[in-house]
Amino acid sequence: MHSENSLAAIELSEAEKTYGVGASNVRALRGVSAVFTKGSFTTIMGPSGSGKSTFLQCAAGLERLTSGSVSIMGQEISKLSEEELTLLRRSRIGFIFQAFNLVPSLTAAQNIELILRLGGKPRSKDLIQEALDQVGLKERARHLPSQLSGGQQQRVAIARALASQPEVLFADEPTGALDSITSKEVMKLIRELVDTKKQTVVMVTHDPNVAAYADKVLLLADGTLRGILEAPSSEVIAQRMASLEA
Amino acid sequence: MLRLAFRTIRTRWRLFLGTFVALTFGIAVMASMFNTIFSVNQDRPLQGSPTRYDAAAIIVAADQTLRVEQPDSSEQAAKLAEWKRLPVDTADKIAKVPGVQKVITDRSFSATIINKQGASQPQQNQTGHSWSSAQLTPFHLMKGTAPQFDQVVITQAIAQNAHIQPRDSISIATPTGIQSFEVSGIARTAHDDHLPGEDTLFFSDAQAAMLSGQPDKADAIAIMAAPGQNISELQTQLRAALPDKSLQVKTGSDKGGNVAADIYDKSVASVVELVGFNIGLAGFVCVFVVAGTSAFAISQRRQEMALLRLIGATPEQVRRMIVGETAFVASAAIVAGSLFGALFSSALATLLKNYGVAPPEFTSGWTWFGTFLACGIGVVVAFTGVFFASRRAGKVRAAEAMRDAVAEQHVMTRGRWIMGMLFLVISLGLVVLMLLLGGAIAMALAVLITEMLAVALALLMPVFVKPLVSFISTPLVRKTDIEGMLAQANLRNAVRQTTSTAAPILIAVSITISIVGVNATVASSDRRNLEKRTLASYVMSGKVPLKTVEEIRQIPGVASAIAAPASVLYSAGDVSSTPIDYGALDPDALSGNFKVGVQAGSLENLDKNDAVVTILESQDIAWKVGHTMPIYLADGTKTSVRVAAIINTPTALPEVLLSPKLTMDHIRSPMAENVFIRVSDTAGSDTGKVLGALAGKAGANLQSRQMWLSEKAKDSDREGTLAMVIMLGLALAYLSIAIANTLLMAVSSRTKDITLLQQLGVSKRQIVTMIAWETIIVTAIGTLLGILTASLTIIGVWGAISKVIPGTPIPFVRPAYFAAIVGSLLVALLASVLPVKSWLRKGTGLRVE
Repeated sequence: MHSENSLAAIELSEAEKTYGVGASNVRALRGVSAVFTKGSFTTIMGPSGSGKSTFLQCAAGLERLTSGSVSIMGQEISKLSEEELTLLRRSRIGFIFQAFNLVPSLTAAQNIELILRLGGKPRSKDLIQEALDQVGLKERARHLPSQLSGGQQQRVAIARALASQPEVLFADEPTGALDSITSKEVMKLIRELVDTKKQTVVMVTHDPNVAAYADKVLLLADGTLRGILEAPSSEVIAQRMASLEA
Repeated sequence: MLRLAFRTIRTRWRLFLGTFVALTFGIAVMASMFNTIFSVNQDRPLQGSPTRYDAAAIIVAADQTLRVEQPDSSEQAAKLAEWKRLPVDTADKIAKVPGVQKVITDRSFSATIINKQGASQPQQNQTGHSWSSAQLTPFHLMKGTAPQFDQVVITQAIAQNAHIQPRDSISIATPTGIQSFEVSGIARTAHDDHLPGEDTLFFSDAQAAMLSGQPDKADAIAIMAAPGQNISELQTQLRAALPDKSLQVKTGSDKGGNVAADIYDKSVASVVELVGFNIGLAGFVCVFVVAGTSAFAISQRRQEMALLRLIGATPEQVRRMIVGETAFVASAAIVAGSLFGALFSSALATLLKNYGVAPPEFTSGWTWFGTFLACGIGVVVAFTGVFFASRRAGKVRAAEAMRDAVAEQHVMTRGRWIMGMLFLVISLGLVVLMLLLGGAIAMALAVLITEMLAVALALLMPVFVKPLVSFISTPLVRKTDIEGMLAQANLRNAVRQTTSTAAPILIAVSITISIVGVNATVASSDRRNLEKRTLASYVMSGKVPLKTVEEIRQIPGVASAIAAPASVLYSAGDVSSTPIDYGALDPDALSGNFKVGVQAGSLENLDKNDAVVTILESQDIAWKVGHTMPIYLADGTKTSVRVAAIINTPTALPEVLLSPKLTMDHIRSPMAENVFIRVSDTAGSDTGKVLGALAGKAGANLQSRQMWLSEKAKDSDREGTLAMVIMLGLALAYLSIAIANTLLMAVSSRTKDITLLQQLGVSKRQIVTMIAWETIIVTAIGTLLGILTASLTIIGVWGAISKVIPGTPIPFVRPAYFAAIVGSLLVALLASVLPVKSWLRKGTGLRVE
């Protein structure tokens, strides 16, 4: 018997996040609750200032909530110490940022090796090569990030997730710095991750075309949840976004 | 642009802190050294001290300046190193001049009290005078009576320190020998129980004449004027009355006799020598550190420069901004450096006094000229350093502002290649030169060679730093988890930063090992040479009268005893340079006590005008066999000597030997510092006992060969220490700034990297460990290269010395080496780990930007 909670990869409950004190404080999240099931691909969308980046950071444990709770795979992370959060990030959580994903002094292959070693996972050369191959960058294994284009860097980040298979992969505007063709390539790879490896992905984006790759879209505005869309098309998303911004 | 420069400094002062500190420190150190040197001339603390001639009206003495006309009609002058006496009969001519009430003949000679235990009291400057000169100070009798023959009057200070009473019998050593005297009285001056700078003993006039060794010569003739007599008139008349126009007729403070001031002046000269030598090193380190610091700071700001260009600033404007920044920083550094310079000056003076190089009354403080000079040099250095860096900054293209990742620019520019190869070629050439020329030149060149080699390596380092990093860190990568891998990758990637941090360490280690090693090589070769060549069984040291040496020769069992009373001579062609030390000794006497190696010429059939020189000294003063050298003896007598032989003897003896027949009359105080005694094989143990007793009588120290050799070894170790302390302390302190500065700046520019690592799950401890490993690897690189550099120099010096003194061992390990290496490592670790730790603790959060 599986309750919905046992399938939850991430669960936020009444999440509140306030920056600053006194009169000039900013309530970025105002009591948001959400559940992300295992193997799902969810996008958080909203106009700028909606709190979507804050949402992601709190869900990933990069920021502490002011009140409320976050659980990852059933484990409440709001009370974890810095050390324990670090351990979490090693093996169970993965990241893809908009830019600056890779350690600049390590090659593509070494960047993947780093994650594997951190997570205590087996690091065979074959595993790394295969991951790079799957994103089409086998010949670039020994290149430094400075020798790779923006799109290639993102693909290495994806290969990293492929190899380390975290429980949850957080992606913050992964295509923000890329052109539309490269964006498509990157999003196809992420979709493949979800489909073939049952990777749980939580993504933040402002681009409706990118958001359409997801199974679910959460709409955020002014720190509150405004709606949930199931497998929407990019047009529907764009429409709802427009109404949010109005 | 100037306002922008000011704003930049105000808001981002951390960027400039390193350069400011480096420049301030450099100016302060140079100012302290210049201040010290100029203080020597400016401050004359003992000018107002009571003199021996305060009560005299006029003093007549020989001219103490040696004036020599050169072939090109210029005149060279030098102050005579030993006091020149004048003929006693001058007094007769003076007495006839109207207005002269009294004429007093002043005599001075060495007179050392030997106490009952045998060794003489360690008093200051014990000097004997004629009793009639007591009234010149004046000294008054406190107790007892004036000295008759075989009697002596001592000052109250001596009486108290040595517990001597009137009617006691004391033994005194003078140039003519050792004698017993009865203390007939105790004297003091009007204000004190002694004259500053001197422990005075008075003998009867007749005896003083004898004891001085030159009865027909006096040290000075003093005149008491008739009451009401105009002194300057009398002075003129005296000058007219004296047939020898070179004689000096002096009044007022020109009279001299300020013993304390004379002693002070002599000892302070060594301060100038020591400090002057070190200024070169200070200057070098200043240039290196300031240039490196400012260049690195600018390279860190490439994106900022690009941004400026993007918004429309021309390269010229960017350069002007940087120059403006430098002007502000330099102005602040000048003020701070001058203030610190005054502080450092007193610290330096204290250090010099503690090591006995400077006299106790020496002070060093602010001098305008010295501070000006230091500030001037500092400013030139700052702007020169910035000049090259700003040109590169101006060339930054606006497009770079758009790029996210700041790719490493080519660190090896053409200019850097050229400079690096230039320094390399020059320094290697100097090494070859050193090996060819050998000897004394080698030592002088050694430190310079190290500096140039180190700079060459620092400039060329980017070429080979990557493989070097891999080579050193590969075992580390295997052993550690991710820290080693990250450390290695970071160092290989950030070539400029790695080089900028390793270079000061390279310099610190190479300078330390080089200076210490060269000193040790020279000292150990001296030691070996001394051991090999000294055949003496005993050495008697102290102030031994020649009569005593004669007595030693008479002792049954003594095969030979040699002593070489020391004096100085001036080379006629170069009078104004440092006088040359020599000893009066017949070279054929040498072989009794020393194993002499004759390198050129011969020791046979020497006559009174022949001279013998050691190999190193002959190179130094350019005396070649067969040449006749015109010289002046210490009292100004002109003569000439023929260089008869060049020999190899240990440095226990003076390096130039002249015949006593030529020189003895011209040496003021012919006493022996060391007497080398060889005992025949048939001698019994009595000989040692007799020698011991004789030494006791003479107030000298008798040592067996072994004891003497080990004490000499200890002495030479101690001698080099002060010079090294100053040079090294300075270099290392300054280099610590460079290391710290580079690392501080480097960390603040790596916050993005460190944040990413934390986001990826690297723990704080792992990050700190990674930084620590980076530092250790870089220190290892600097150390290895530093050792390589210094080794080349030491081998060069060793090679040069071995030609002269074969069999010199190479000093491989000395404690100072480790001090430099460990010191650099500690500073580097602190400078890299602490900022990271504090930044991590602050925890700006891992917010994705």
